[in-house]
Amino acid sequence: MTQRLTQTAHYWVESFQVVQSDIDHLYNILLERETPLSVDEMALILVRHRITQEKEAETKAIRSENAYRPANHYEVGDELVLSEFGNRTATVTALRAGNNPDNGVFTVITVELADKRLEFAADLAVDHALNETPDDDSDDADVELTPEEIFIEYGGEVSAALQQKLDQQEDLVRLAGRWFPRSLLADINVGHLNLAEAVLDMADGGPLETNEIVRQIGVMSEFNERLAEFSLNYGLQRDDRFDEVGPAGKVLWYLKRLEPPDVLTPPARLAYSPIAYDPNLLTPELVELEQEIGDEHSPMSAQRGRPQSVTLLLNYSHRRAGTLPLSHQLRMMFPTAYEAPRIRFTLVDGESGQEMPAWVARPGGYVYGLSDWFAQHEVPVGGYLTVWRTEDPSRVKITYASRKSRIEWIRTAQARENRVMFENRKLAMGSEYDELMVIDIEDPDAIDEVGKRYDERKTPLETITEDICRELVKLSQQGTVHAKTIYSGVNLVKRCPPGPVFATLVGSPRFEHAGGPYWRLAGGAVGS
Amino acid sequence: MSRPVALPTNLAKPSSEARYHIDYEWWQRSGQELNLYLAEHLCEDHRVALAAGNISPETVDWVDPVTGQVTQQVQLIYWLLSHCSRQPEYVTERTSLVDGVFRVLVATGNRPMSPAELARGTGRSAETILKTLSGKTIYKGIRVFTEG
Repeated sequence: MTQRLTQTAHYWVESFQVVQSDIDHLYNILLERETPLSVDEMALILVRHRITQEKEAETKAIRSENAYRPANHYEVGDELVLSEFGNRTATVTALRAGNNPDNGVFTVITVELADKRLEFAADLAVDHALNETPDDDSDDADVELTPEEIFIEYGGEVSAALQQKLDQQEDLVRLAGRWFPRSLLADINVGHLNLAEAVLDMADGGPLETNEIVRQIGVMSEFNERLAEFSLNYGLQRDDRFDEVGPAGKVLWYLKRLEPPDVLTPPARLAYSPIAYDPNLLTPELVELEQEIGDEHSPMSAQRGRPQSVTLLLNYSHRRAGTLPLSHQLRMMFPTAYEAPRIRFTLVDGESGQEMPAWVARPGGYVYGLSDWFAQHEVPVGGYLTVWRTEDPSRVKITYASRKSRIEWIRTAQARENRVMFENRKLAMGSEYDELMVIDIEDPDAIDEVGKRYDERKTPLETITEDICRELVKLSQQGTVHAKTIYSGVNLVKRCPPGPVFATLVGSPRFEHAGGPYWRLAGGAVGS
Repeated sequence: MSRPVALPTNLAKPSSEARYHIDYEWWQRSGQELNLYLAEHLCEDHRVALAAGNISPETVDWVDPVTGQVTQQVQLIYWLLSHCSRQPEYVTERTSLVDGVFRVLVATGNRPMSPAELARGTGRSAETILKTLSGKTIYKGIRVFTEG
């Protein structure tokens, strides 16, 4: 038997299109099973459906009265169905005697098929496969690929074509990667939603899985569990009181009004309005410093693989806001989602095991929930933090570089006369830190006021950098400041990645390069 | 999904889905002696018959065992189709790749076959078959089948 079309790559890769009868078939499956299905599950069902369709068409053709059989007798004008030629119908146009001693006496009939003349055997007395009625246990079943094997080979193409078609179906809804007819969903009314709100309220806002809400509501027991879940998900999604906060592949619900405000709206402290600069001004040394700092707004080289842990330097903006940046490096360490803008997860203190509720705020590009932890462990600006993946993607471990407390001279910032001033003070430090980035802040609110003043006056970055530099050089006998320290100082009053700051140092006449990564004010000015 | 523009067959690089057949017109154009080559593939019994001159000049109506289609074949090809191709020594691991592909195509009535199908018939890898047949050189008239 010639190869079935559904056994060929051409069928699935080049000529496959989802048609309405396929959608109708999938609708029936969804109705029968009363279970939302993923696009891959439906693609496999479709593959089986098409294979069965082709087999049934073949069998029907072979068993039809007009099916061509070499043993039959034909006359000119007779119609026959050629099962080995796509079940096409052909008409006999001529007859002649066959010439093959091995076959005995037989006839050769001529038929017209797609503008071609073909000859076939008739009145054939010897055995021929087409004279047999096929059964389901034919040997071909051993040679052909199973629907599952075809799905493994070509399922990607089928799923992609099906996804496009499903997106066009108005009556189908998709939630968390599963599809179901809207008209067949369980009816979720305002009463159900109010009960859901009450359940979440009792759970301090959440997060709760849908099946837990269904169980506690207790009024959907007549429905199939998966359908009840899907229907409630659909209802909750359309009600603004509820926020879907689960990581990819999981649905979790939270009451929006009980979410921390800084999760719904990014903290003002983190807001960065991009500052134009020429990246070509940065020397290779400055580019290396930029990578070392790892600011989330810096261009980073492509990351390969998923590391088990990432170490970062904490800058003032995130220390102040109690957040972590979703930089290129760190993004891979935290749970993500296909669509949910906010994801609720658990941070675990790597030393004590203390668990902290935390949030990934994807639109704002930060992780929220560390204010108390930073304060508890007195993590300084410039302190080292390490984030670790665990076996459970919804739990992330965090540690700081703790050590035995020592009294050390630490750069300290304070606000005076609308300026930030620096001095070295002896402080007890119980964690490791980057000496070039560390800054202790006496009164964060007062520092914030200086920043606000700069914003209101739209003070250019060049001036802010000069002001900060002028105060920092006072701490240096050589009258120079490291570029990293300047970046750390500028970020006390203006959120800015290292790129624009370093470009300002290189490009502005107000600064002089003092060698390596060190800079001084032009003319050696130490400051008034 | 967009479809690639069709190239002329002599420029198109065959893919794993291309199907190959024996182009007998190539043999006519090439000036090579098809009958001599066909004789190399006969089984021992039919070599003896050929040597004894027991070969009819008439064509024979060969009935495709799968489709029932009738094609008129010269005696040499008919012997290959009906008898020699069913012998165990017809295609072995000692048969060269080109000869093996040629023999498989003859045995199936010159039905166009993909590299994967030829691989099953010859025991060679589909990739090697595709590489060998998709070059500029046409071996023994084996080339990509095009409709029309």
